[in-house]
Amino acid sequence: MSSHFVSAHPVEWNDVKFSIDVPANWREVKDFYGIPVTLLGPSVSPKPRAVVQIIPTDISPEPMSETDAKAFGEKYSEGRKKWVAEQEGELLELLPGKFENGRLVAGVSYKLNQKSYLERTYYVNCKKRLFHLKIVLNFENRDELSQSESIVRSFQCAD
Amino acid sequence: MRGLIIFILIFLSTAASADIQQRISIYTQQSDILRQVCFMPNGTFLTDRILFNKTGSISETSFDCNAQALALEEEHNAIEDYLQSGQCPLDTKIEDQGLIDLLSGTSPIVEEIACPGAGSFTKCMNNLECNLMKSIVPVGHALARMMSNHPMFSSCDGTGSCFTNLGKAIWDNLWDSVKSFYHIGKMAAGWVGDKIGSLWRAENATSTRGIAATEATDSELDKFIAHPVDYLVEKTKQFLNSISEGIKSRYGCAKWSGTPHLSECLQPMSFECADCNGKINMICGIAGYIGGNFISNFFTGGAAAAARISAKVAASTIFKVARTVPGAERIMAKMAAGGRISRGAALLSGTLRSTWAAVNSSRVVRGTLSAARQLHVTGAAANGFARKKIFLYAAGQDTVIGLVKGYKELTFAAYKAGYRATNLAAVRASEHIASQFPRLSDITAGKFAHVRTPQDYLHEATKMMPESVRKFMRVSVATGAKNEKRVIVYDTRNGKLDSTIRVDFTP
Repeated sequence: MSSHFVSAHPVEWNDVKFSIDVPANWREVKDFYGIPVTLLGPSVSPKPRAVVQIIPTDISPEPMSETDAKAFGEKYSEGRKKWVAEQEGELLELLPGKFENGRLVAGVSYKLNQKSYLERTYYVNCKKRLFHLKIVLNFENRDELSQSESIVRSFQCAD
Repeated sequence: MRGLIIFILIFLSTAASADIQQRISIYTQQSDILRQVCFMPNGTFLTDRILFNKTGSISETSFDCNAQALALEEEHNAIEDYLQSGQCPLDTKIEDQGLIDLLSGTSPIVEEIACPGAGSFTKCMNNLECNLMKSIVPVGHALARMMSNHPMFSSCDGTGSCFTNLGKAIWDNLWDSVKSFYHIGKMAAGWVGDKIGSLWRAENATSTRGIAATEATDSELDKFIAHPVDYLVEKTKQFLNSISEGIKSRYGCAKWSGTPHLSECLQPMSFECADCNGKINMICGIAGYIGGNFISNFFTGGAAAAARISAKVAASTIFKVARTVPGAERIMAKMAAGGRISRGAALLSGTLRSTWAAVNSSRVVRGTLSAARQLHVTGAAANGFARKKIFLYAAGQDTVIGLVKGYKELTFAAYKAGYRATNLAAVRASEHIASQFPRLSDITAGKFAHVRTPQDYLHEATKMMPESVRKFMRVSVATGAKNEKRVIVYDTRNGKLDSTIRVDFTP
């Protein structure tokens, strides 16, 4: 378990509220590259850095459960395969869909040009809307996966 | 008999072609020398000035800037008229040895006509960046309003409409908000797992942006937060550099005979040598190959991604390369073996049409013709010698004097070939200068009262001047026509240049 946490940090974006733990040496940026909230891990240039994205969607919440995991994973995988092929990349790994801590979870690893990435994607309902959280890591930062997952786990709806 | 006539016709047209090529070669070099002799570094033309050297031969070193600018204008128009008369097919290959030698060499004029864009990269990139940015940000977006206050957008002239697609690709894939991708639609009958798993566009968009974000440095983030427009400007520069890396060594085309990419290439050259319009053309030529994958390629690939763009270009037929000729191939092979390819070598493989197009559109030719036009407009062209002032070359201008001597040799060559304009102007100028100064033989023969030597003549000529002026006057002996010596009295102060004629030679 990571010991980097400060207490739950409230975040507001366009009147949408939530909270998430942001470690001391991470940065929070709004609307960077069109993503509502991005958390960026420590940077030791020219090394890449860890990225956690939080997107409040306008999709109304619908009940999710364990029974949805398999279908979710399969549909997700289909989409990711297609995208990697369009980018002329190489698919490395697809994780099956899961239902964990109230979230639908899936993951993928792929290689584009000379760089490899791993992703974890999470969908969670709050009272008013569905939230999408996503981890994007260059393989060079894969040791930060555990911390990134902890951050995502700390996400809490405001309502 | 018919065979003989055909042979003569072929011979004459070949000879005519060689003649016009020689004429172009002479004209090109003379224009270059005029630019170096008669323009200040800031482009001001030495209007109404006749220059000469205080020692040595007046005819070798004299230069009447007005007269030569106008004579070269006359030459230019004569060449144009001839080429348009149809007497000589414009598809002829370059055959004149003088022109081949010129184009094979590394003289500044050749560097310039073959590589007009060299040195202009920064200014051009500003223009390209500006145009690309305007294509990226949708009209009416808050960012567009912020952009209009940014100084970069004063350099924008709205060319490069092909940037529209490229700009949209950048906006859609990197900058636009991802919120619109989260749209399930009316899948009322679908299961939650299916519905959420089908948010493919959202996953794609967040992946692309996530990859980009992994590369963001802290200073970039600071810039983004403080000045989002500056940040986008910086990124746009990087995008353009990436694109230009991809096509840099490609044999692109700076000038088309008709519709770009669908007609013959008149002026083949590499990306770095193309002028701004040429660069835009080349980027536009491959912009169709830069689509949604550009952003992910840019952030994941670096040089490898750039190579990916150029690999696609190689597979296309957008760039047509002009024909090569055996002679030019030999020359290029020799230079390549010597480790050096003249940029003009690219022109050797072209035609009379493409060579003249390159010369005609060079900054040197356009600038010297502009000076001639301004001479007409300001009335200075009608000046006889009365309005012209005679000046000496400044100290240390040996290079310029050397150029002028070269110019004179070119005027003789032109004269012998039957093109007399520059030679006539040169002869008139040197005769005029000589006539302003007495013969040394007259002085030593005692034709002037109280004067036997050049020093005596200086004393007599300046004794009525105030001391403040007289102390700057000197005397020298130069050689006029028919080798007669002339005694020159001159002012060592720099004359004030009073000229309204100016040309911008910057790339």
